[in-house]
Amino acid sequence: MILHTVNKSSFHNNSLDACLRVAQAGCGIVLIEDGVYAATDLQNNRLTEQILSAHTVYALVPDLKARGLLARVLPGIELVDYQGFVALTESFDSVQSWY
Amino acid sequence: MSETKSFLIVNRKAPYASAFAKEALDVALIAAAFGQQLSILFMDDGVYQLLKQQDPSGINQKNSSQTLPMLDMYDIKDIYVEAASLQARNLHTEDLLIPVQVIDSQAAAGLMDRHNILLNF
Amino acid sequence: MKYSLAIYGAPYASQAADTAFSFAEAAIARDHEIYRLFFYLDGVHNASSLATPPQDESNLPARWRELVEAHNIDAVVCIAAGLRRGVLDEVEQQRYEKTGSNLNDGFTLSGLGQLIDAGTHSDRLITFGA
Repeated sequence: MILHTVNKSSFHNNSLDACLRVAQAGCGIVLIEDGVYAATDLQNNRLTEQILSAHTVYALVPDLKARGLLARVLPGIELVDYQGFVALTESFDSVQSWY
Repeated sequence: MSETKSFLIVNRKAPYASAFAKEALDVALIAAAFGQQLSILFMDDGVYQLLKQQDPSGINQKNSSQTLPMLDMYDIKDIYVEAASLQARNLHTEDLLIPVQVIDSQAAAGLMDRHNILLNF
Repeated sequence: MKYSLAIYGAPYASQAADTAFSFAEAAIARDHEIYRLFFYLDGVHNASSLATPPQDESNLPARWRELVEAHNIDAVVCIAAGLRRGVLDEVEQQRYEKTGSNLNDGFTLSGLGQLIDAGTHSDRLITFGA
């Protein structure tokens, strides 16, 4: 199983959309850098309930905190720090970076 | 390391506005020269790297698409393009410089699963 | 596990190199080995000895150097990408008769084969792109 990382806002480029086209059920998705904006309540957010039930979606806390987003994270998104990010890469087979 | 590993290069960026297209192809050729098993997937704006009739002389760049026929010479045959990316851009295989296998997004996911080493450009 | 990181973003131009650094530190804290750091595309600028940010800002190239030296990490800068972007060691400075060299201590210039080797010899190869 693959761990996907997305580091761009979906308003900036289509990296999150491309990731979601290709993500298989059971994979992990880690939102990092500007990708953490997708973990908040947006109009037309790609991370629908259906997506969140098909994949486990994580968001990197230092990036959320930097951007003032900690209070805005959607329910169903798991928070990780950098060591948690590393731990995820241990348990998935490989990492696909979308940027 | 005795396990046979295989590489997948994923190209998502258009040519010329950044160095990704050219420098990703360099990696593909080196991997092949080192005898590695390699597949290449073009998706999103990466499909634009494959268009025929590129002429960047007016923007002072080398034509990176000229490297594409070398892939076959280096025995890199497993070249894939994501169908959704072509369709969104109104492109067809006749518009592309080299023969490719067009696959759907699920098959693209399968490619990522089957290759141990993912190189993302 | 053995990790290799492929770093494609320049310091200050994006967060990619910073994220890679924090990831590397965290991986070491979890007792993993960093097999190789491979700096390619604009990532080569992380190896410059000339970066001089204000004192109250993070000096990422200096932090990379400290990390690499503290943990004896193989930090490779792709020679073709480095030359193209003006990151040279003394050998290349002399070869091309340039006025200076700027490859920081702890880093070496080498070919793309080192990225391929990192892929085949690591348990995880992770890309940090801008």
